[in-house]
Order: sequence, then structure tokens, then C-alpha cells
Amino acid sequence: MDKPVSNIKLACRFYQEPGGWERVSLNLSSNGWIKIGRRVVKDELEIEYAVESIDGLEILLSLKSRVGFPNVEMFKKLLECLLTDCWYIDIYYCFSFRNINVENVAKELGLHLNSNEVKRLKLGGSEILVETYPSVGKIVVSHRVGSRDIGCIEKIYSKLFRKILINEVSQH
Amino acid sequence: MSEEYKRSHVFGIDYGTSDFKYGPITIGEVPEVTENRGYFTEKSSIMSRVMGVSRDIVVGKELPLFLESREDVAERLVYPMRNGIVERNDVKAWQVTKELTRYALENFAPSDPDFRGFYVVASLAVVAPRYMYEQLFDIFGELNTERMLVRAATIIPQPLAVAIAHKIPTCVVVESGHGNTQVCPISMYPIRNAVLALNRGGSAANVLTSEILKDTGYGDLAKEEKLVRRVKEQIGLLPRRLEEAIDFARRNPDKVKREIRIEGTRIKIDLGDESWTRFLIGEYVFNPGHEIFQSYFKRGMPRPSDVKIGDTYFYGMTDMAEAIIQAVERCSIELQPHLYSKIILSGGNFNWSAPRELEGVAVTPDEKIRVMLKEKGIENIQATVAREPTYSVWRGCIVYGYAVPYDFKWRWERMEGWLNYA
Repeated sequence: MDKPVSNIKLACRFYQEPGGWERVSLNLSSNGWIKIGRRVVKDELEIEYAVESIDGLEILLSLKSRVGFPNVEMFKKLLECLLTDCWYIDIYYCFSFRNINVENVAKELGLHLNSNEVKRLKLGGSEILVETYPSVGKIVVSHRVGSRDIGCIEKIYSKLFRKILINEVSQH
Repeated sequence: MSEEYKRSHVFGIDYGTSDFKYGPITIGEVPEVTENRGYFTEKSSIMSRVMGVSRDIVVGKELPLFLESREDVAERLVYPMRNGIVERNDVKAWQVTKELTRYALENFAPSDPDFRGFYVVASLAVVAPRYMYEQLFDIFGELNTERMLVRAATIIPQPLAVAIAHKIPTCVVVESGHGNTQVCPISMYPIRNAVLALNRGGSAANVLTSEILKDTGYGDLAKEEKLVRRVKEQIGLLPRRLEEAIDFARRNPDKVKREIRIEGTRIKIDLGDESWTRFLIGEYVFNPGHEIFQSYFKRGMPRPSDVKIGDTYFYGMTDMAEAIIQAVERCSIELQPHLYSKIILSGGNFNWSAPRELEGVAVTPDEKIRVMLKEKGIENIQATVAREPTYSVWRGCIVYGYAVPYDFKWRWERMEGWLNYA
């Protein structure tokens, strides 16, 4: 089976007062990230600043990993770092599958989803939204994380993503 | 409806001249792409009835499955935005636009009771007249009759979307797609009086590639547009200066020679001693007026012509640097140096790479523009190619939709804000 292509977006929300890219990138820089214009990089990870809401209370970042999907420990450390500035972060993981029936993938993950269906799961105390788009071969998983529930990341990785990422799901 | 809902339901659509790019904010950095075209089926034929074809128009990825003979294709296959403009009364083109929009939204509309429609940011050519905005807004409204697909919509010009994606408020955006090129100075908003449109894009380079294939003995392949495009993308080179590049190629034939194979077929293409013509493909995009192309025109290759569509002139032969200069010189003198200092090249027609072994001879589009402008006496310019230039308009749509507050209402006088359908 082809490995899915993954894309991660982080919508970082600030509490009551505007935050912004400058503040976040400064914080990341002091934690070993290297700033290059609108991007910061560290080891295999690269974050690109996309946009800030007009009220300044939210910024949208794109996360890329040179190895395909970020290592859970590195990802957790990144979120912990971001959450020293942010109130909470909405995380969107988009998996694109080529030549794979997404409905079958969803089924094997125990989701039993039909076309363009949305399912809400509880994992590690967090509500996870799983959306499948078979006609374009995509699955979008999203959830919110704050500093108190960061532990859910490991559960989501082990219960949900592991199957996708280590090719446990088959084509048929 | 809240700001939070809007931010997670922004949907970008780039109505390109050849490719139609679409998708919601959640899908990452690369949109879905399908061709901006539709096929009108022959429903009355007995085979259509037997096969159960009930649709009037087919769009999207399954369209090739419905194509019939070449004569039928010419008659029934409609590309609605060949020049970026759809005529007001072109019923078929508007039908295709509507079906493509429906197709895009339905591909991603979740069957979830919490879904209340997308916040759609559509992008049109900067030369698109006001009636195109009105008709597109009408289409969004009509698509809501069966279920709510569009909660609110806004429309922005493609070059502005590029500037937004790069967060550069003062710049010149050169957006070059398949069918046209738009040179648009921007100072917070597009300076509409200064916009210059060229009647050529990637398709012009395809025409030249086709001629090169004919000349090198691949006349049978030269008729297949898709194949020609692939050949162009694989062999085309952009020369720093054409004469120097041709001279280099003749002295170093092995460095320029390249054989390509077409995946899934037995086809191999090797230009052999004519490999120097690889440089012509890139040069033609930037400067079709070079005297070397006269021989092709004399042998019948169509010359990109000046055309007037609606109130807009599209120039055929103006070179890329001259087009930038003409557009910038329509702006205030005080602004001109700032515009030259930020030139963004965007669109699939700027996807040219410079192989390491041809360093200094073949260049990237930003370097080419720098060289061309310098020759015309313009210095201190900063040109950059958008990252993945094919998708920068769509990305700008997403960024714009995310930033504009959900309760900011559409205003015709400024052409900004959301037109609400709820």
C-alpha cells in the first residue's frame, strides 16, 4: 500500500490578548528552533506561518516533517512549547491516500464511515473529529489540545495514527 | 454562526484558465486539482440510455470516461475560462462553471448535522468584469437549493490572492497560467488601471513544443496536447540569454541532450542534435518576439495575437519585462521603485527549474526577469517565484477567508467582505 501523505495545521489561540507570529517564533527560537523569515525549523520539523486573524487572537501554522509524519515525542515537545504562549491549539491532520479506498481504511480503523461522514470519538479524554472524503481520497482528523490534556497526543498516535502510518490497513 | 465556525470551514476555489483548484482549509498546502472544463453528454443516444448516463454535463476526474470521437469532443467539450473571462451570454460556459463549483463543494461537504455550509473564497482573473462576480454569486446561491453548501462567499482577483498568500501589500504580481498572464501592480488593493494582460501562458509554450516535436520526427505525438505538455515540462529550459545558451548547447551537446520516456507507454523522445531547441521553449514564454521564432511563424505556427475580450486588451507578443515596465509606469512615480523591489512570479507557467549541470546557462524565472529588466535599464529589483507557484492563488484564498471576520459584509464599492446566504 502507498504511504499516505500527511499535512498538519495548527490553529493557535491566544487568551484574551493578541499574540502573533513574532511572539510565537521568539519563543520557539529560545527553544532551539531556527527562524528563517516566515518559517522556523528544528531537526526534521518545519513550521510555516500562514496567517493571523484580524483580531490577533489566533494564528494558523503549517507543520511539515522531512520524515513524513512527526515523531510523537518531538510533536509533543513542540505543542508544549507553543502552549506556553497559547491558550489552546486546534490540530488538523489531513491524510491523503492514493489508489486506496478511504472508506475501507476508515472501516479498518473501526470507524465504519460512509461517504463524507463525520464521526466524533473520545480518546484520552479528548473529543476527536474524524472526517472521510472518499471521492478525493482524504481523511481529516482534528482535535483541540490545551496544556492540561497534552497527554492525549500519545493515545491518538497509538490508537488512531499508528494503523495508518505503519500500513496496518490493507487495500481490500 | 461564529468566527470559530468560519475559520474551520473556509473553502478556496481558484478558477484557473486550464486547471480548477479547490479545497477546504483543513486539507493542508495542496488543493485538489481538476481541469476547468465540462463535457455535454448526448443524452438522446441509445448508448447513453443503455449505459444509464443521466447527466447533462460531466465535470471533474471522471470526465475522460465520457469522451467520444474527436469531432464530438470539439463540439461538446467546453473550457469556460480560456482567457480568464466568461462572456455574459455564454450559457454553456456558465453551466460548466456551476457544475464544477458544485462538484468541488460536494466533494468536501460533510454529512454532519453541524455543517452549515462553507465560507467560499473564489478567485477570478483580475480582468474579470463585474458581471462575472454577479453571476458567480448567483451560482453560489443556486447551489444552496438542495442543501446548504455555501454559507457565505467572497471573490478576490487572482493576483491579490497571491499577494495575500505572501503577506506583501506593495508588489507586482505576475500570475501566468495556461491561457493568459496578468501583470498586476498592488498597493494594498490591485491598481486596476495599471493591470496589463497578455494573451499567452503555458499553452503558447505547448504550441512551440509541438512544432519542435514535429521537426524532430515525432509528428504523430505532437497532436496529443496532454503529452506535449508533459514533454514541455520535462525538456523545456529557460535560457539566461538565448544566443549564449544556443552557443553553449552546440559546443556541449552531451550536456543538453536528454532522453525522456513516457510512463506507461513504449514512447521514448530524444531530440538528438536538435537538443538546443529545449532553450526555445522557455524563451518563448518570456519573449516570443525574439527573431529566432520568425521561422516558426513563417511555417504556420500561430503567433500569440492581440485580442479584445469585453473591455480588456490581451497583448500577444509583448515580452514579460516590457509588460512589467508598462504596468508599473502606469502607477505614480513615487510608488514605482517599491513595485520593482517586490515582483512575485506565480502560476504554473513559472515552474521552470535550472539543472545544476547547466548553471549559468539555464536559469529560474526570477533570474530571467532580473536579466531582462536589467537589459531595459531597470535595476535594484527583487523578483521571487512563489513557493509551488501553481497553488499560490488557492493558498491566498484560504488565508484571506481565514482573516476576514465572518460578520464583515460584502461591499460592491470595495469588492470585499462576505456575501451571506444564510
